[in-house]
Amino acid sequence: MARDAGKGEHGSSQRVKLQRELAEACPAFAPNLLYLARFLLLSDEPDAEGQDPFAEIQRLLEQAVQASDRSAPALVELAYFHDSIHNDFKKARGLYEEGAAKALETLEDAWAGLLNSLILEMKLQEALTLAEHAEKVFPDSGRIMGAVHEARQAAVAAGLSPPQTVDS
Amino acid sequence: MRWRMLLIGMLSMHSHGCSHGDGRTNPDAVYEDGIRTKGGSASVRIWVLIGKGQFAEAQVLIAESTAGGLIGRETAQKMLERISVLSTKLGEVHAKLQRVRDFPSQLKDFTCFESRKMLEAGDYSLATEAQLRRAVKIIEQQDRLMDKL
Repeated sequence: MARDAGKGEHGSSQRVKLQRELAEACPAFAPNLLYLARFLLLSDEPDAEGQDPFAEIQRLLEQAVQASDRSAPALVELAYFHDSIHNDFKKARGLYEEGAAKALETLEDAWAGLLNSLILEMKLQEALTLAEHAEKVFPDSGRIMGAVHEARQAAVAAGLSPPQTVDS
Repeated sequence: MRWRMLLIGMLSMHSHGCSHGDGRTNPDAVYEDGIRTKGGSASVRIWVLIGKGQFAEAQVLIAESTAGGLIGRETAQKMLERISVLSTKLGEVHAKLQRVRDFPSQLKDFTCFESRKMLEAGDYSLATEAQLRRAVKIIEQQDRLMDKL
C-alpha cells in the first residue's frame, strides 16, 4: 500500500485516498503521516474532519511527532504549521527549539563520524574544511573536538598545514 | 511555480551547452565552496543582487558562473529557487493556504520581495507589520512544502 500511495499524479484524489487509508491502517508509520500532511496543505482535497480546513492536517502532524518519537522533521513541520497556518509563533517556538536540538544531536553524530572517515581516507583538505565548521557549531563536544584536533594533526603530518597554525 | 520551472530550465540549457561532462571536478562537492575563493566571491555577489531584488542581473550572473564552473549546479538551483520565491505574489499561493485565518488579502498583488521591502522600510501604509510578516511567511511556507514533496 505504501508503494501504491507514493505513485500517481501530483494532487490526485486516489493518492490521498490511499495515503489516508495507510495512515488509518498504520498510524505508527510517521513518514506517511508527515507526507500526507504536507501534501494536504497544498491540495484541494476537502478536509476529512469537517469545517476546519486544517484540522486533519494538524492531527496528522501531531501523530507524526508522537509516532516518530519526537523526531526533528516532525517537530519542525508541526512548528511551521502553527507558525504559518495558525499564526501562533509562540507555540511554534518551543517546537522549533526542540526540533533544532534533535537535529543538532544528529548533526554532531554525523560530523564526528564523517570527520573520522575523511581522516582515515586521507581526504584531509575536506576534513580541515569540515573541522572548521564543526568546531564553530560544537565547541564543547568532546567527540567533535577530538576529531578536529586529529584532522589538523594529520594535515600537518601530510604537509598540508604549517605546524604553527595548528592550534590557531 | 511556473517561474521556478522556467528559471531552472534556462539554467539547464545554458549549462548543458557549455558542459564537457568529463566529471573531473564536482563543483557541488560539500567542501568545494570553502576552498574555491573565486566561486565564493561569485556566490556572494549573486546573493547580494538577489537581496537587492536585482533578479535579472542575478540570473545572468548565475548562468555565467555556472557555465564557468564558479558555482555548482546545486548552488545555482538554490539561488534560482530563492528568486522564484521572492517573485511569488501572495495571491499566487495555493488556494488552501489562502484559507488561513486572517489571510492578509490586501497584499495579494504583492510579491514576497515587495512585502519584505515594506517591512524593511517600516512602511505600514498598506498593511500592518504583522500582516506583512504573515504574507512573507505564507509564501515561504509554500516554497518549503514544495521542496519536501
